[in-house]
Amino acid sequence: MNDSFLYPLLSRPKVRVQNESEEPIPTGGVMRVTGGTFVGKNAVVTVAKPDNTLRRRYLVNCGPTIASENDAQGWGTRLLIAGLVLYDNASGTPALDEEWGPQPNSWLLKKDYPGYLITGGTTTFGSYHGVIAEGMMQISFFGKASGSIAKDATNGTVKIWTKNFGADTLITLPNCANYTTALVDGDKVSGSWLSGGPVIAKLPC
Amino acid sequence: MGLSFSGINAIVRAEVMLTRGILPGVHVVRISPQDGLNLSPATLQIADGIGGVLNLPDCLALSHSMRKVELSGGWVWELEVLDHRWRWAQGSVGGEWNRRLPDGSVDPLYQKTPAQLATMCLDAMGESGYDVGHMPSNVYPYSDWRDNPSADLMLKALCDAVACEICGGEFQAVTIWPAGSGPDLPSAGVPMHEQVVMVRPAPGEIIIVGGYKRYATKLKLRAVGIETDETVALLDNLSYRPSAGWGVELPGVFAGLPAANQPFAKLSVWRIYQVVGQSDGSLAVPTSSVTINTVSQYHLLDVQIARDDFGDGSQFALPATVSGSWYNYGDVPSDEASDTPYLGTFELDLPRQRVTFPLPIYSLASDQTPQEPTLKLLTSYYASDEDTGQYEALEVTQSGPGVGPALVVIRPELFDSYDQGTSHNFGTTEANAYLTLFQAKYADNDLQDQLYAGIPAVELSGIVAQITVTGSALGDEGFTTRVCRLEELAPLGHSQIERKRKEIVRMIQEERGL
Repeated sequence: MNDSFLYPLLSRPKVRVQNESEEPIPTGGVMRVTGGTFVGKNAVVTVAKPDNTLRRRYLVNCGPTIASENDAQGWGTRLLIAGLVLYDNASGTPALDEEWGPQPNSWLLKKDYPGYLITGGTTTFGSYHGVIAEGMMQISFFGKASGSIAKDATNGTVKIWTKNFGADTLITLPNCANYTTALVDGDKVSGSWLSGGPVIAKLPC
Repeated sequence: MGLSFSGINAIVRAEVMLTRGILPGVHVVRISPQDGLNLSPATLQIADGIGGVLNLPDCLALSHSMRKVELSGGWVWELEVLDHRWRWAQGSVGGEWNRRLPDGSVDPLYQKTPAQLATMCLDAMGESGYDVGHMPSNVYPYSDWRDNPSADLMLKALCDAVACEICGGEFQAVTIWPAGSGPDLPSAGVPMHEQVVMVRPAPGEIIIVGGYKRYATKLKLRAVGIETDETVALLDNLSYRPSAGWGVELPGVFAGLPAANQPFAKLSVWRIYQVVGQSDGSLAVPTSSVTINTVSQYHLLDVQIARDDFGDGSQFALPATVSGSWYNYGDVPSDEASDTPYLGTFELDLPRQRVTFPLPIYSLASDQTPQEPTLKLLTSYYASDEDTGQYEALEVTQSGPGVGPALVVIRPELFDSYDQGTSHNFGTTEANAYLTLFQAKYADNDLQDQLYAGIPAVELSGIVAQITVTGSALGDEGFTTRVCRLEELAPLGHSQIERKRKEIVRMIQEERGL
């Protein structure tokens, strides 16, 4: 008899992750993918704390706390089906349809950062705050040019903005290609990932 | 005055010996030689000429038993005649009656009084007009008739179990009397000089031995693992325990263990749990008289004492369950509340007293790392003595009316139980009722063997054990009746012990299909 119906975790799409951060990863913590490896015959994704670079994918720890010792393993999920993820309550309380995303050097989501769409419903355990959210596929982004970016340059850096251009986030996206007009520092841009990497264009005023 | 049997021209002498039980009485008649002897079942009548008449209906003369006997007046033929009970070796009964529920009470769906069981038997034997109203109504002997055994043998077994005697079968008017009760010696008639008063060795003690006492309590479970030598140990005692503890290893994966240890860990860690005692960690079984020093003195069953009622009257014991507090693999990393029933599947290894889950079951510490959960197994079990190995069983004892060897009555269906704080003494209550029955059987110790002229009004009962009527049509010895009280004391004919031996042999033959 299969007991999976009793346990949501067992039926959630997930992958083994290996902790490269040298600190414990709490349940619900958002993790940055750093690479992959085979441990025995099993595919394992290596993870660490999110940094100040916008990534196309993150994983959420959907199992017990992942220890810091000796490449400890745990379970990670893209959270494409709504589930628990930790949030930074200094940003307030998440509400339906808000967008919260990974922030540098934290396992917690920050308000108006790109990455996760809030469904709602919060909980606390220990010192952590969790909310039900879904991971979004990073297809497009908004931000401001960081320094000048010449036409046809492929190494531009964009400072990612919060939703509605409210403010700068603390994360950037390097190696952006600019095939439209030349950009100066602070120009508002939009972009998306095409084959080969991120491509940006100046937003019309 | 006379002796008659249809088909026999002249009976010169008859001896009729009436005894209790299911086997037909064998009566001997001597007849004058005659042409042909084609005898159908008929009534054997003996009339003493002074008002006493004995009619035995539906008797069967055994023509093959005939032999010639020379008397002073010449040759006569001697025949054996069976009374009506020769027809009783027919008919069968079925069903399983008075089986017990796990708490020791009688399952109402299968409950039958001795009188109801006797009725089933007598109906199957083709009897009618019987009287079973004197049988006890506060005992319920277990009767497993699922193999459709012979009705007469089951009737005999039933009456032996409840200290009753089957009387009147020879007259087609069965009355079942409790031993020690019923009509006594005839008040009319004249006891002859052969009246003898004797004493039998009544038991000095009566012991009712029942079944094992059944317990149901929550038993504490501890997580164990399989060592590399395939022995079992608590998790913290395993040789491959991580130095930082099991909290650093992902349950079910154990990627941080040496490759050689991982299969043992995956097979056992957080999956196998061992019974270690009562829920509070102690060993003593509540209300048990047995001193418990190890859990090996628990003998687990896979069902509880509590049961389901399916609404149609049928009841089945609930299966063993696990409860406690553990991480339920939910999105929120916290344990279930304490004493939450575990709804998933698990295997229960009864002799090893272990529970095995198909997936790791563990608790989460305050930092959400895996740790041992609090789990309890609720199931029923027996307790045994550590030194003798004997299971704790029901036994009630009472001083008997005599000084003879103890009478031991074995009734394995009687047992008491203890179910999570509630004691059930159904077994003891019914065992005490059996004590009363068997006390009554031996309370009266006044054995008598009296001889009466003619045929007085007397019948077999729980007191009158044997009636022997002899008479001669030649007028040389007249008619006499010998009546034995409480025991069969007449020397001629098959004794009760011999008949019981025959009954047992026949029962064995039936069981083995011989």
